[in-house]
Amino acid sequence: MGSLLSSTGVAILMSTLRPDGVEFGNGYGYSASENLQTSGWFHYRWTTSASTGFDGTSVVGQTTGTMNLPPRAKLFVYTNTPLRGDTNAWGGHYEDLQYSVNGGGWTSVGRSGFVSRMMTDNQPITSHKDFCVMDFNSITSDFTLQLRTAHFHYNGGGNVNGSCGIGNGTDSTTYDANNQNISPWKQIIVMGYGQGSSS
Amino acid sequence: MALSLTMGSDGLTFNDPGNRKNMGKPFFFRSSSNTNYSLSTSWTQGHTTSNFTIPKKSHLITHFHYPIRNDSSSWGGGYSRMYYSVNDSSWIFCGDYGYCRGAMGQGKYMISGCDWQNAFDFSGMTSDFTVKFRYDHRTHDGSANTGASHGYSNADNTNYHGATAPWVHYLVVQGWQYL
Repeated sequence: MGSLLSSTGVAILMSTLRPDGVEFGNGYGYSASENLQTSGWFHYRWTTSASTGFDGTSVVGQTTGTMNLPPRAKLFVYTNTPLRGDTNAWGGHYEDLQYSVNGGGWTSVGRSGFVSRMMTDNQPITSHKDFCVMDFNSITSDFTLQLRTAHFHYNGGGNVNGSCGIGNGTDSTTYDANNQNISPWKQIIVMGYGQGSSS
Repeated sequence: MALSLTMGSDGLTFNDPGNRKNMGKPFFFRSSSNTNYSLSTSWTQGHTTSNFTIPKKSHLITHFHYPIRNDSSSWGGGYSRMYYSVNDSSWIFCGDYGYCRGAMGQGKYMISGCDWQNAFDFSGMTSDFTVKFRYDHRTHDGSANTGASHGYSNADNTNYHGATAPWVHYLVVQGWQYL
């Protein structure tokens, strides 16, 4: 990485194009140590309209396809899970987000508690949202990733997607290749970029 | 190793598999209001944005939030729909989001909020374009409202966040060009 001297004699580090990315010059804290950007932004979107019943035993409700990711990827993961359970008991819904790297075993990032569809004597119908930031800084070459969510109740049973009044939209890819027509259903959206240490 | 990055007018391009390694321009927009919409069992047009000007070949992640209040012990419920329009063409319907988007339950008053995300792939757009978004709502039965009686309060000033009115309905658009 080259450098110049400012008018006050302070070294100014130049940004550099490298075979594996852009190495940025000056920075502070995190931006100084994580100064090699290995990709631009990317996103993946996964949707399923399958209805999945759940009870006290964890059941997988959605598994994404395989995502190809750049080294040291940083990911922002959003899940939307429509829920119904016709119960006057507490009901409740636990969601467990899991990931698999390069086809390996599944690792849980932790289970969210009963923060949705949880109320006595009300039969609530809601959506469960999760947001997770993942940092694969230790992976220094291209890799693949899959995500999945598993579900179970506090009590009373329930289901994902079923009987939630969801309907498809207009089937149109005129402008948008993602086609939003099935976007209201259970969905996992991943956005991110590759960025890490240049050393 | 030979240098495999090229710099063009729209950004940087790697000579590697996968166009995720292109680096185009990132951008960010937002739209908010504190309008109240009274809801019934008929569809009511809610928060509707102005046009955003988007660079060609862009991807967008949208995040919309709204509150909803159901002051009755009927089911109430927030059915919602989303639309978008490109270059002021007719609205494209993105589907019924059903009654799982807030304040849907039996026998109790309910006040809640809703967040949802969408991902758009406009990489086929070869010229800069405009896009706007619209969100409609209705109840399952009874009446509800989105925007009033939620206990919001004004922000202190407009430094950095840009509005003194509370962000009752808001849409955040994050995007980037895909070369």
